[in-house]
Amino acid sequence: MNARDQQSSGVQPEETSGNQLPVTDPDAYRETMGRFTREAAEMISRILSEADFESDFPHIFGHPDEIGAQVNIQNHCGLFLKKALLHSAGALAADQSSNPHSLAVQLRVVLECAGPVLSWADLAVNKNSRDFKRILNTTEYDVTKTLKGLSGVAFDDDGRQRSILRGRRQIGVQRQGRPKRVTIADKLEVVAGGANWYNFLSERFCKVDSDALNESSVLGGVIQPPRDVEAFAFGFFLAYLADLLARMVAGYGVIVITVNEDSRPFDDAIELLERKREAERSFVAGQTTRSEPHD
Amino acid sequence: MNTPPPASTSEALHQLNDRCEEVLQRLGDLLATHRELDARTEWHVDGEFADRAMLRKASLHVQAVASWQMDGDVLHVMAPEIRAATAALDPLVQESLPESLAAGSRSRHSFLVSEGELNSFAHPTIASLALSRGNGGFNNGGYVRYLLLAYFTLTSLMVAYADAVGVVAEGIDSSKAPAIFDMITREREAGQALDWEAILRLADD
Repeated sequence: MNARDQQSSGVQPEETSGNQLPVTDPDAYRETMGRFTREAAEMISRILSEADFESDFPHIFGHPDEIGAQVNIQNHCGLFLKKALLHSAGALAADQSSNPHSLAVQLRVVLECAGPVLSWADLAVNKNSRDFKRILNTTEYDVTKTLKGLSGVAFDDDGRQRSILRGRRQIGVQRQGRPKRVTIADKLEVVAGGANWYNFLSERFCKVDSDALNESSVLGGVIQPPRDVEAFAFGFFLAYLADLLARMVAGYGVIVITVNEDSRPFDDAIELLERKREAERSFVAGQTTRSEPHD
Repeated sequence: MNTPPPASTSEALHQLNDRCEEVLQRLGDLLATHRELDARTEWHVDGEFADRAMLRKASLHVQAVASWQMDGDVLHVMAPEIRAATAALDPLVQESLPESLAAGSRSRHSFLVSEGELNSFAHPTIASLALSRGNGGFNNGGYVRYLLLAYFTLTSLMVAYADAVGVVAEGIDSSKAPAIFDMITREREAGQALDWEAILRLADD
């Protein structure tokens, strides 16, 4: 997949931004956050290079009968990491072509991928029964919804419910009810800023609101913002994207530790997050960037 | 690993893939025409120009779609763009829709017949990612369905975008409009020329 189009978006520039930007060098901020995003994406590529999507799908990192039940969660995380990686490529291409609308819709899918991975990681660390029930319900709800979507009117709802109850009993859950409806905001409960970002991206960029269209393209409209505002906005979006990807790797890393005690993915992700935070602080403070992404 | 299909099968899939590439080229052509028309007239985003703002919004997603090539898992990346472009184009093409797709019979995204199928590409779940490629997952198989979905959604997008840009051209430079509307006719003819019997046989396998 190659990005062909490098033309910028928007209609006509606004005359002035009118506000003081929170960073001193928006272009450098955007470039640096883009590099952190690429670095996080490369981490995911490295993780997925050890996965096998061909022989025993969806057991991409191993079969639970051979490695243990925890590898199932690692396998699930791997699928979300692959999905997030694809959309990160889309987001980075959108950055290259200065297309904030494209960046926004790609970022929203990455956000949806981060929710489950971080939920499982959170559960692995906190071992909270409420979280366990929430994740169990989400999985049941998603599977049911997907099966209904696939099979249409021929869907055997009673048979599916019996399977769910059997599965619950096997893991010691006695609840009899059907899965409760789950919204995407519910799935983003453990993602910092997740629900707010999701609502912002959905309302401004995925739906069509006539009022929003009158605004700057970085807010979901079609008016080209001033160059420094655009650079800051792209940097801001990319900073969140880099954060999400690195947190997904860290979350995956937590799961991997429970499977085989390999702490490298977690350590690498945390180290990247710390460098990124330091770089962000230096931009806000107006100092020379002390911590650069690794080339 | 899946067994490689026989030559005739492979040929039918190549044709379908090439058709998708052609549609991406047409989207790029339309985008260039749209930009040229946009540049000719003063832009005010208010009142009567709201339709053009929606078209501009759609064009940003079309720009992203047209920038990709039909390989790998590209439909994953295209899906949210196609859905967002659809949301912007849909109000603009209501009058051109066939009766079966007119507003009222469907709640939204009315020109995009396969909107439901794209949903799993745009909203991943643990269940959807475990499905075959044609259903938004990463399991091998389902490649014919994947290509068919790509073809139908890209063609729908191209036809809707051509229709909306054609209407703008009629108001700004009527000499450009026939060529734009002609794209729709030519795409329909090119689609009909595909070996549908072979493709649908493959889809059933």
